[in-house]
Amino acid sequence: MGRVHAGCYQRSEEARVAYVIDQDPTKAQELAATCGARAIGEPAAALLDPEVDVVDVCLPTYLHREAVEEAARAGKHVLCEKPAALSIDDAKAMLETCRACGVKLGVAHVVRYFPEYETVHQMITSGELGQIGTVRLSRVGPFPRGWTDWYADETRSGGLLLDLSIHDFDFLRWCFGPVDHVYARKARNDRPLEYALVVVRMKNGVIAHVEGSWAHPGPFSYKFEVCGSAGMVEYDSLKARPLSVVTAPAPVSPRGGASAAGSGTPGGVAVPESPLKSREPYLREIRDFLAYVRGESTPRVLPEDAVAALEISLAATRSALTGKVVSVS
Amino acid sequence: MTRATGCRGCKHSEVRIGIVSFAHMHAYSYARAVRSIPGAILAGITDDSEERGLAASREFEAPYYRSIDDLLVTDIDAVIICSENARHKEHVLAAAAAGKHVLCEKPIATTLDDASIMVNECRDKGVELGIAFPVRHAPPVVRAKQLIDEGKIGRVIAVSATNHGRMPGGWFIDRALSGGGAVLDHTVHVADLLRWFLADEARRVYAEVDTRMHDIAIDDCGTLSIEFEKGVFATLDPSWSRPKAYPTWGDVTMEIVGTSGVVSLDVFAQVLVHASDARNAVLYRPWGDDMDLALVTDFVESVREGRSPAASGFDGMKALEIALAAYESARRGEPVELSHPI
Repeated sequence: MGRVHAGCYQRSEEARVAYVIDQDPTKAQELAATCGARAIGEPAAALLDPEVDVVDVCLPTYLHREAVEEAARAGKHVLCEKPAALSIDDAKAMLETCRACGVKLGVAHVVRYFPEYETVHQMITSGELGQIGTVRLSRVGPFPRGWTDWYADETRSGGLLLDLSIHDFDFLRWCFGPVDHVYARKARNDRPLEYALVVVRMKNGVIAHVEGSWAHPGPFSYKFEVCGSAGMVEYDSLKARPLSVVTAPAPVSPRGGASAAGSGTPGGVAVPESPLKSREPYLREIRDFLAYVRGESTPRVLPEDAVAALEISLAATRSALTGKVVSVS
Repeated sequence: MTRATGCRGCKHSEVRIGIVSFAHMHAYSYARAVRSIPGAILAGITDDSEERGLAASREFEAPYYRSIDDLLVTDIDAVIICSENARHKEHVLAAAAAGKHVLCEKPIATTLDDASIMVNECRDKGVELGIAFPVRHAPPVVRAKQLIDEGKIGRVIAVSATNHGRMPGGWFIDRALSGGGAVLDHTVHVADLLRWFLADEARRVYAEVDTRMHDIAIDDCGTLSIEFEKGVFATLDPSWSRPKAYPTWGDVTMEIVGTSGVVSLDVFAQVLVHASDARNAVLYRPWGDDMDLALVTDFVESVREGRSPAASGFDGMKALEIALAAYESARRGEPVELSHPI
């Protein structure tokens, strides 16, 4: 995600990346070279640099609190990747530290900036769909293989419900307000895979269903369906494909071997794209945060929203463990 | 086309079938199916609505009987019962007493006690009781079952399913006749598929149930979470959430997740998208196999061969148990444990 955010700062024309911090010097240098930044292995130099306004934290979740608080104490505003932390205590401590240090904290719940989600959010809140009865949200893909396989370690990633389904929990709160209770079932397997199906009851009565999967071998995809008394909306990212490119397989030489692979994509496989310009979600997320930092506006996602989304994820995790219905305060 | 010869389960060279009530609209499709199956005869119709019964009698060229008893004293071999849910029991028991095999529309009944009595009576009277779960016969469903059984996706760990529909109105929303709304109407099909796919029984059901999209006095939406004995869990959305403007009546979908792959089933995806100026609407026009025909064919063959139909009264009862547990869970606000055997 650091790479995506770096590109957005550069394109925003409101900021530039001054440092890329990564303990892997090759990774740091590669990214730094693309944006004319300095590659460093530890944050100290950046935190001491008075020219630096913002620190963007894209570390694995279990390292968020330490990094965010360190940046805050150095007087830097912080944009932190979601989920904010592994526990409510950690998340609240981050908020408190940022407040005490007088810096602004953003948490990158980017789904709120995805135009398809923005559009249905607008349709829901405008009343166009009438009273909403059921909502189905789905986010599926293969098991993520991160640095030192941290996703596979629940003590570092929080697992599927905390890392992936939190997007959908946050979206539900954005549309319908607080959650009343959740009931979740989850499977884990050494392949590895994780799969969860969560029934969510909102305080306003909406019945929601959240599917989260790190068990789908195919492409990452997301879906939603919102049904109301005056109409319904459905969306499937696999079907919204304005562009797809498929290249001919590399010719087979008469001796039987394939010729040297030129491009990175295998021949014969369609690679879909959904290009956006001004509505590109990550760019608008970054711009929204930068406007907040400059004191121009309130961002779409407040730190308190990130804590509330985390509470839902943790409630669902507890329900999956205990088999009981868990209330969300 | 070969003509059926010999009939172990019936008295004639042809299987003679009566239809009891056209209250459920599926009766029309079943009547057409009976008439198109070689070796099957639509031999009589009864309906407590004389007007509806006479119209069906004319349409399907079969004699109309004023009462079910008048139909049951004829030489028919079997009946298809499409009355309102709450009347299934009375009609099934009458057919069993007359020694006629039965294909009963789903849900089998509105209470487990009724279902149990129906299953036992049919067994005691030596007649087969089949339940109309046509989706079992849809070729994409048959193929999914085959893929699961072959181990194509490893061991199944979970299923995310939907059986959406439109709010049907009529007696479906009259609790005295239907016994329940969307959750009863649309849980049993997928509950049956899950039991069949997994060869397992549900042990725990949790559900949210409500009326939120229509001005009716019965549930129109909900979501179930079902756990099976061997640990597989599934969710099901049985809501009447499809607007009138939706291009089709609804769906049956199942995302079947295994330890080494996923089967995504969208049973009614074999359609053309038809933009009709005449109807000012976009409509799905199906071109897949007729699963009602396959259901009735299986029933006719079961009668002819003296075997059980694909889905039995017991299967109907176990599917009903899951739907009724969903209502109980929603009332209690907690998961409900199912006791076995019932």
